[in-house]
Amino acid sequence: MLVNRLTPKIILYALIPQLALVLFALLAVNLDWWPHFRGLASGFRNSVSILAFAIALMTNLVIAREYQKTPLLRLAWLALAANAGISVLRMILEGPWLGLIWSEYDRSLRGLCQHLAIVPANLALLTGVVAMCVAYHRVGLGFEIERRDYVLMAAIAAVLIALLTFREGLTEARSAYPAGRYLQQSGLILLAVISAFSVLLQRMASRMGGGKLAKVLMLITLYALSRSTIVLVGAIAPLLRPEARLFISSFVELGWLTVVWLPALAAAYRIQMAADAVREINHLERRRVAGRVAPVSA
Amino acid sequence: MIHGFTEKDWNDYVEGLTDDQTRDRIEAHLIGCFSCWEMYEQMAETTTALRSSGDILRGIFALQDQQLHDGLRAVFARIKEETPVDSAAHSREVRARLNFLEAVLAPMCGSQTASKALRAAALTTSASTPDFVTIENWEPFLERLTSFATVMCGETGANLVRASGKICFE
Repeated sequence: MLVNRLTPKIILYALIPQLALVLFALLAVNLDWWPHFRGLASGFRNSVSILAFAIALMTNLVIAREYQKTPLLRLAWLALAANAGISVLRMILEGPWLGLIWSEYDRSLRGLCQHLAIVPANLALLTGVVAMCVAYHRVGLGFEIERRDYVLMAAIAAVLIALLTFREGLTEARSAYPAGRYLQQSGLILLAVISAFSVLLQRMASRMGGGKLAKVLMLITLYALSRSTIVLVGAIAPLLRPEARLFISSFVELGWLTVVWLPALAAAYRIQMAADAVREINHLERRRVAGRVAPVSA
Repeated sequence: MIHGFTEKDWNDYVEGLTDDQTRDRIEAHLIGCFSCWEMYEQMAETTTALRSSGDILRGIFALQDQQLHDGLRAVFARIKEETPVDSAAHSREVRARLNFLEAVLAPMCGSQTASKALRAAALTTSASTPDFVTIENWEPFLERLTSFATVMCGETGANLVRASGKICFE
């Protein structure tokens, strides 16, 4: 299967030219070289996000099959797949494509639809992160929760409070649909809870002493935390001076383009771990058949 | 020191091992010292009782020459079976296998997790620590390690651990 050949290098090779292209587009728009670039860049960013989440969806489904005997981790990877799948839908709703074929699809309606997708996507991500935390904690290899973890979780809760304080800066604060406002806030609360739990994943990863699994957990943590950071920065941006706003919007644009690839990158590391294991098994089998396998001390 | 005689003097006297000069001095003292006479009598009685008990026990557990010969032969045969050279080679091999498994696990779930998993797997078997894992308790140890690997590395990773653990023995 094509997904099994996915490597982190492929993801990075895909990400770097995109970042360069969007950076060029941002410069072109902001320096008035080509103002139409904005729409084009937005469409490009949206298409790339769909591709990134679609790759994450397919890869996570393959990874979930790795855990037939571990229901919690199977649930975790299926939940991550659900997050990626709903995010694909979100990107379609959020992109410029629906507006082209449906004239009533205005900013408020788009915001409502977008948050109708974000809330279940965040719920799926939360399920995935919590299931992973519980599964790795239960295995009993010293992944305990310490006091400093609770402190970090509290710090993230403080970020949530800060974000809700700046709620006037949120995109849906003045939406024509009240549901859109509530959904956006619910999504943010969920995002903060995910970020808090992802701190536990990061703690577990740091105690592993390297390895691909640690990278996977770090990337999932980074995905949750950077999403929160981008939303927070985006919420603060309207309160700043125009020059600063320009810088912030570029940061959000580039940041978001990177963030959407993080689930695919995490999944690529996990897939590579399984692919390496298969290669090692085949190597051992070949040595055994050739009669070259002897006690390792020989 | 009791009335100018050491404990060894008294013991030797009771056992009949003392020299003539000391024996004469003790006997001269015993005529006039009632407490020492009493102590001597008690010591003499105890020594006699111990001697007779020893004789009885030796009679019960007496080893014939043939029995002694057979027993010693069995002991030497066991020592020969487990010579230090063989034992060291055996433990080196198990250690090498453990290192191999740790090296298989580390790139997947990290070196610390690999080391912890080996310790935890040993703890749940009769080995209690990786140092006491032997060929005899290798199977349950490997089974436990595989179940840790199933959670940490998925089923493919667990299969690799199982294959690595088994292939080393062939």
